[in-house]
Amino acid sequence: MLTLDKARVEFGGLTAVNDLNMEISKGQIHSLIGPNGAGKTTVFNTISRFVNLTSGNIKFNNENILNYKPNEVIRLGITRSFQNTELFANMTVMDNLLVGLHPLTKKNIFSTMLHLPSVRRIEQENRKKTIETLELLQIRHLEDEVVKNLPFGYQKMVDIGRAMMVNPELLLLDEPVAGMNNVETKQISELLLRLKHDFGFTIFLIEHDMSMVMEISDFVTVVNFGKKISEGVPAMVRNDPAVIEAYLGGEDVSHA
Amino acid sequence: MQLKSQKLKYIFNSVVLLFIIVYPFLMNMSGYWMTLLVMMTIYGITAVALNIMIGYGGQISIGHAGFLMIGSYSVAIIADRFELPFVITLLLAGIITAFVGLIISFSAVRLKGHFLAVVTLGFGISVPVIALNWTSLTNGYSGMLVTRPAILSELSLYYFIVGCTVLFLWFMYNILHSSFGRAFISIRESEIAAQSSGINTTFYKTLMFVISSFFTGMAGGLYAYWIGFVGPTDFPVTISFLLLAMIVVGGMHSFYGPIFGAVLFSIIPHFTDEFMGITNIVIGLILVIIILFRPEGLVTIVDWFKMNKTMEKADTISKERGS
Repeated sequence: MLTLDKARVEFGGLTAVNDLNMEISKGQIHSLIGPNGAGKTTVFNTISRFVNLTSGNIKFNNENILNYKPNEVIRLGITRSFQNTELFANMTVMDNLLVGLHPLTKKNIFSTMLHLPSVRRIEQENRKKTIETLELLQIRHLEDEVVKNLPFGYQKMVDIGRAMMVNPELLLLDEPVAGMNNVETKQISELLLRLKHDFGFTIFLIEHDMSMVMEISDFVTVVNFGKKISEGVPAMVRNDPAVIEAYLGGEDVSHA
Repeated sequence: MQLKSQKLKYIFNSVVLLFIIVYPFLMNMSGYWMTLLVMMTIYGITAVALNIMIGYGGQISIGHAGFLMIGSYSVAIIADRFELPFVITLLLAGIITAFVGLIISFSAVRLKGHFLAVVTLGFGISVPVIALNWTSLTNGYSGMLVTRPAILSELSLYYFIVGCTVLFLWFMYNILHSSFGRAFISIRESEIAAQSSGINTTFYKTLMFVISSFFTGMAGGLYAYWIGFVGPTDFPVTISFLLLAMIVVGGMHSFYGPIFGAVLFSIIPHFTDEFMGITNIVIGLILVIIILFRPEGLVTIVDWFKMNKTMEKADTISKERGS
């Protein structure tokens, strides 16, 4: 589904992503792990086109992603959340999610100006869809809250919710449970599994919570200094000496 | 609760509209008082249009008086050279101004913050200079007379301007409370998140410029028809700063805020003009006080009243439960 072919990103003298080859298969939860500064978020930024590749290629469903701008990637069926939540802080939860529907919303400035019935109908349909997503995320009660007033855990939920709005084929989630407690982490894990099983989402996940990664992932890729050092099913990666050495300095991954 | 607030808003709007309708008769058809209200409507349209860019889109502009001037001169020139129906003339003024806005936006959308401010300021300064020096088109320092449409008396022109104001504000309200408005706000809040949500930020910034300049141009056109004259000193760059002050004082994150600001700053000169030079001092003082004590603008006073009412209600309920 998504293929990174010798993807390389250099920032001046620093190589953030070093000739990375990867393949993400449809319908899987694929996790990308590695120590801080390993280049994981840069990989996300290249897929979502915020960072250009120095060399190499990225293809999604045989389409060259590099031909697209950041705002066009969503039309391919790829959406993302951000490590440090990038939300519309002064907008309500409802409006944040409605922005997520932007690419699917038919717009005409003249009918909008005249507030024609077609505009009202589309707005109602969008709100209905947003409410369904809020219910799925179990944050319906927050729909009118301004996002900046919410605790961090809920903000993360809104970030994920916005990325879910267009029913993407591939959902990129950058540390979705960072800063969350155990209950919230469990909730997100269940949500991701549900998105995979019930809605057929493919999820590409960056996460530091190893127990969560090992529990829900179908496939794990490990990077260090921008280079792939291991990949495979969680059980295999967990016991890979290279991973234990590079990532944890000798400890068992599952206890991290 | 929401229904009640909508009902209150509806009643408030109706009372204001009724007042504006009977206003000429209350003021004995005085040209001075009617002009005062017309200027409120013109500044009201312009301030809301400017706020599309600043308050909603986060794109600074301190040259909007330039668009007002282009709109007013467009009406003067078209009315002088072509015998077109005045509504068409007005619409053309809006389109011409929007076209200029489009040209400015090509460079402006690539700039942010103070760089954008400088470009728009330069535009605001240039327009009066061009109007002064392009004498073959604008008649230079002498300005241009604008003939009032023959079918309109002073009173019917007044109602026409009020009608246009209501219509233009309604158009802008609809735009800002739709997916377009959400796209504008999302750009203000986080361009990265907006882009990853599929919003073409360059396109929407351009659209903000075009919409804003279109309605400002129409407001300039209404001004030309009402005053009956346009000159190169009508909209100096200080008017751009005044428009900015209207938005800040009224409340830039609200649709109604700039209208409050426009009304307030249109009334102030009425009380201060007899004291030489004091108008700007008063406006400056109000601006400082608002920034210090109510940076979200006067419109938030309504929220403050609402909050107090809710707290009073909560107190009453807890007392009742206690007893």
